[in-house]
Amino acid sequence: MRPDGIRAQLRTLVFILSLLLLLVGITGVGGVLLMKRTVGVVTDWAGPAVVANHAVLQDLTDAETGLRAWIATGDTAFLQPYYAGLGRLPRDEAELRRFSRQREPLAGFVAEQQQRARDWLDSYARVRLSRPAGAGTITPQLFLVGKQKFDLIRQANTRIVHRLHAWIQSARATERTQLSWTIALAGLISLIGAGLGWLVGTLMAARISRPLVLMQRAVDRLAAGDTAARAEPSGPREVRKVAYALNAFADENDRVRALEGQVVEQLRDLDRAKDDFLSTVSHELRTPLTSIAGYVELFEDEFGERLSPQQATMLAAVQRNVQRLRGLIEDLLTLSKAEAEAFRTSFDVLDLTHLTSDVAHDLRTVAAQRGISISEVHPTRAMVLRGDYAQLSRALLNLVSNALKFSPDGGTVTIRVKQVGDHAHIEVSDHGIGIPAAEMPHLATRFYRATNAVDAKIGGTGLGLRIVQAIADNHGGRLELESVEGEGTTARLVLPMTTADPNAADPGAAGRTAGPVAADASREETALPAG
Amino acid sequence: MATIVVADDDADIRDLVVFKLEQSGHQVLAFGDGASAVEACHQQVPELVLLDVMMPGMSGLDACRAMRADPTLATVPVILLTARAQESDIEQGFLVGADDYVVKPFSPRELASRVTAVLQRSRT
Repeated sequence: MRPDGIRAQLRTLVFILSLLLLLVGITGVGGVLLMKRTVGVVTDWAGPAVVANHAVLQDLTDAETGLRAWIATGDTAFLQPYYAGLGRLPRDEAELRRFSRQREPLAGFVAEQQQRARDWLDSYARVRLSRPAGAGTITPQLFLVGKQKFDLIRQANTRIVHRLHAWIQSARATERTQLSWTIALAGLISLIGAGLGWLVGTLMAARISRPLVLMQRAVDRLAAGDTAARAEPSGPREVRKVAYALNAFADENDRVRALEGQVVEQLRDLDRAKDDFLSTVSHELRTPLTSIAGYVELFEDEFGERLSPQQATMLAAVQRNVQRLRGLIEDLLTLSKAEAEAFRTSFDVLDLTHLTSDVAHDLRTVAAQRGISISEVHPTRAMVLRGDYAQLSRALLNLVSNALKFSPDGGTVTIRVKQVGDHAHIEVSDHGIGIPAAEMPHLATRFYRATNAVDAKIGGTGLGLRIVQAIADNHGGRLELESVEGEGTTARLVLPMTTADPNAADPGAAGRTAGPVAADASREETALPAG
Repeated sequence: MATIVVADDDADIRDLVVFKLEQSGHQVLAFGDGASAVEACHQQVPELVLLDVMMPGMSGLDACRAMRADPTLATVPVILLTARAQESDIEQGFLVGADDYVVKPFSPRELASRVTAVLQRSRT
């Protein structure tokens, strides 16, 4: 029999222990009953038999003493105990016979004592009573006969007493033996019970608890990330069921994880394919563009001075659009590169104040052509963080170029670097045309250009902010835009100021698809022209 | 005035380069692939070689490498024309022994001045 469930096992254990307890009880009660019977032999039979035997001897002794006194004195008053003794004798003898009935050799002894008493009465007492009594009437011969006969009675009586005492002794011995056996047996069964109970209990506890312990280990391993860990279904049914459920859960978890991995891999493949496509297309576009731009230049060199004003305008339009196409292809390449590098941006420790100064320096000449001044505001101390210098330069270049593009001639563009909490803020502000609030969410989408920028015939590819966004994502940062249409725009690049290597984490996980965050959404008009 | 070998698989660009360089007074030999260009260099050692990187068959990089392996051509200056602007490509160009590179789309005027600069450097 193999009890399956915990309840069945516990029930079996309790049943076995109860059975053993019952056995101890039965042994005790049986022993006591047996002893009671043994003691009963003494109290109910041997004891009264001794009393009866003694009474018989007493009757006869009374009779013998009375007779002897009458013989010595002749006074008949002494015959009274004689008759009294003989009067009681039959009843006492009957009593003794009753106890000795069918108990050999006691019955024989009792019959012998009775027969000797008759003999003493017939051959001495009654013979002597028929003769005179008093001094000088004693005949030594008869006296001797009487004494001998009475001694025989005493001997028989003594034999009965011995026999009865022997019986009592043996009963007592039996009782002692039974007591010893009862104690020994009850003790032994108790010991066996205790031992068996302990053994069965321990085994059963182990059978229940060991699978639980094993399962707990499996759960611990699973929790620690060991996906191959499984519980071994063993032990009671309930525990096995839990183990099966746990394993099913772990299997399901594995399946989901594998599926998740596949989906992520597919998404990455798609992303890579998109990047490859973008860069291939850009490269392929460059070759014809080289011919177009080159021949336009040769054409201008050769015939520029002989063109009519209308022809010159046409050529200028071609040149302008070739330039625009060139910018578009460059931006597309830069963007696909920035996005492709989400997982392999090279992070070095760099000083933001140097970076802003470099970019400002590079753009001052261009700005001066339109009378725009670039001012820098940054703390005197270094602003150190980990980042990719080339990417961050490109991002800042795009932001400042935008600001210049949308600023009126003679305006001011401000680059401000500051620390806010554990983030660095690089703000680029202009007093340009701003952008309609409704167009804010689209700004960092590819090729999106603000309507007022298009209306104002300000050139651009619609990729500049998308590139900045991608670079911010690569650095675990974000791009924030504030703008009031007609008043100006502030673009803010927020970067985490950590000197720890962010490649340990996933710098691209900060949300590549997220749009720019409007820093102050409560302001009514916030927007930035895209470039 | 110098002898220049040009290799580009795109005929329009090839003609553009030839036109500009001839206009600048050079004698130009043009080819559509790297192998022919290297072969021509063996016939007559030029003063400069212009190689497009992306060409079917022998690429510009391979052609440059082949020239550097040949003692008679090892010192001839090479300018690479590349549609790629990635640092790794430029680095590879210098590794195989190119003297300069011009990124497409390029301006013919810029190309002519680069050629002049490289020629001046090699003559001194």
